[in-house]
Amino acid sequence: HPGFCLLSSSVLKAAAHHYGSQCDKPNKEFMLCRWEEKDPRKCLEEGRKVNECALNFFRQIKGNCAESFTEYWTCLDYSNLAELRHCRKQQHAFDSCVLEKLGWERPDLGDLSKVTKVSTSRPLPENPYHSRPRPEPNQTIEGKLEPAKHGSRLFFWNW
Amino acid sequence: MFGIGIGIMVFGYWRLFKWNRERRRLQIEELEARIALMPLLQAEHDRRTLRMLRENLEEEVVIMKDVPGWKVGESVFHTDRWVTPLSEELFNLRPREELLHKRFGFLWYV
Repeated sequence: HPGFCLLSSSVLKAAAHHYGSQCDKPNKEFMLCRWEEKDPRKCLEEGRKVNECALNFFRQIKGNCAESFTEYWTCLDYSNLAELRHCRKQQHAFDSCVLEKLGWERPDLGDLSKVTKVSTSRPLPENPYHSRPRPEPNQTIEGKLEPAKHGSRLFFWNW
Repeated sequence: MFGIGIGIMVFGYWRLFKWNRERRRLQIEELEARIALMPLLQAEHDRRTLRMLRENLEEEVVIMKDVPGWKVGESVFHTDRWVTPLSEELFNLRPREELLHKRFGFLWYV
């Protein structure tokens, strides 16, 4: 069990939309952890869960819809930039296969870029930037403050 | 005549705007594919970085064994938060080809 997903880019891109909707929870938790703690060493556990989810996802695809998926990603691989619009037919075939066998729906346009709220049991880190203690603010000035006599001294010498 | 010309132009503009909106939708779809895959790639990149740092640390222990007053793995900064390591630092003890791949591997132009 090596732990690394050894897949090429077109394979990942072909399955990306379904991956985004299926493995959503561990992905979002990992990204939240990473962005809050700003330290990859603290997020190794969540990263492991992300990896597990990804491996299970690809195992499920391989088990159920292997041929249509292979056709889809070979079609994507053929074009230079792996544009999704050139492979609509295979995408349709793959989508319908996945829908009947596993019940997964392809997310609509804009669903994966929506802002989500993630709930974790991990507490919010205090001072993630390890900043030194800030100096105290200036004391408030007691007494009556009046504007300067003869106008501002900074009128001519304001550099 | 002018009417025909302007009519053709307006029709052309309309087609252009429609196709631009369609291209925008396609671009959003491709960007969403990237959004969906980011956690996987980020997690693997993190693991790889940490593994390389660990290997470099062990090499450092071996290499600087006889130098007096050398603290192994001492950070060059005064803070103890995570500093993203430079590629030169990570690929220090590997062949130069790997560093060049990391830095320039994705470039399509020269």
